[in-house]
Amino acid sequence: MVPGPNDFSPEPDPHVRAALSAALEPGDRAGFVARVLARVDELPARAEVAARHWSRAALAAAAALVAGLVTGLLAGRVTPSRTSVEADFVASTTGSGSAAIFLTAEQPPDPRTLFTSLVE
Amino acid sequence: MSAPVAEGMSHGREDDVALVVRTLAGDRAAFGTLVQRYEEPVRRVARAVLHDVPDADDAAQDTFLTALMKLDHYDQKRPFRPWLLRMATNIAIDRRRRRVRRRTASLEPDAATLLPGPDVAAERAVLQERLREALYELPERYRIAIVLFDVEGFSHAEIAEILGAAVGTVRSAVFHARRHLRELLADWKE
Repeated sequence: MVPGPNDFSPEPDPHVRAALSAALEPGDRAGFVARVLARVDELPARAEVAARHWSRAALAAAAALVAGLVTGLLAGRVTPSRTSVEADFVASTTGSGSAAIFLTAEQPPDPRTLFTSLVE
Repeated sequence: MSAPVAEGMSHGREDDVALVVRTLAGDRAAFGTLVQRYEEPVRRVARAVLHDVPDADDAAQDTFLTALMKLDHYDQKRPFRPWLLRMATNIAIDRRRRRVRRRTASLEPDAATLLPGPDVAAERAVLQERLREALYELPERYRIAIVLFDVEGFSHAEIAEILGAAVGTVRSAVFHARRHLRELLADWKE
């Protein structure tokens, strides 16, 4: 079949449109919308999802902080009140309290501290 | 059937963005409005990909749920409809690929439905069935391209963006699909 001139048209063809729309007519619009919204109601609320995510993140951060402080206290190098801003930053960045102690200490690391961190 | 809606008109981008913002704030009714507004094109695109109507509607439902879950990734500076229809296209294609082994003899045209009926309604139903069959004979990209172009009113460039294809490829797909369908329609009229 030789293509008709309309085959090249950059505009939508109303004849094709009408035929295809009828052929693909989905029907029962209200029923479809109701089914989608019913499935939405089954989903956990976005806020709950976010809260769970935030809770996990907060727990992980708290655990890392406690681990860092305990490590520091056991090593006898730092106390909670002496924790510097740099140590906090390194600990939060690396997730390791030991790394913060090593990287921000004014004195060379004690071998016992190094051993403790390796055991961790 | 509602007419295709150009961006920036009554169903345009600004309204959509306001609904998206309200949906993100937890407004269920706003999301319901978005579903009502776009269920027709989403379902048509899904049907262009998937032969089975319930399967296509499941894909369309999945599209809206996925859109809801990913709504915070939607760039509010861009039109909503192409974003949604791209998602619908991908979800329907994924679903068809997963179901391809389950395709059965249902793909064969039902001989009973192809027999011309005694009245206009029956003839129209037969034509629609033949059109659907003709549509599903086309390559998937052709089907999606012609539905997005001739039914939904997207430009070649917009379809290219939705499908992740070159504009020339889309233009060619629309051309071939039109020729095929017009041939069928002309035969039917004779």
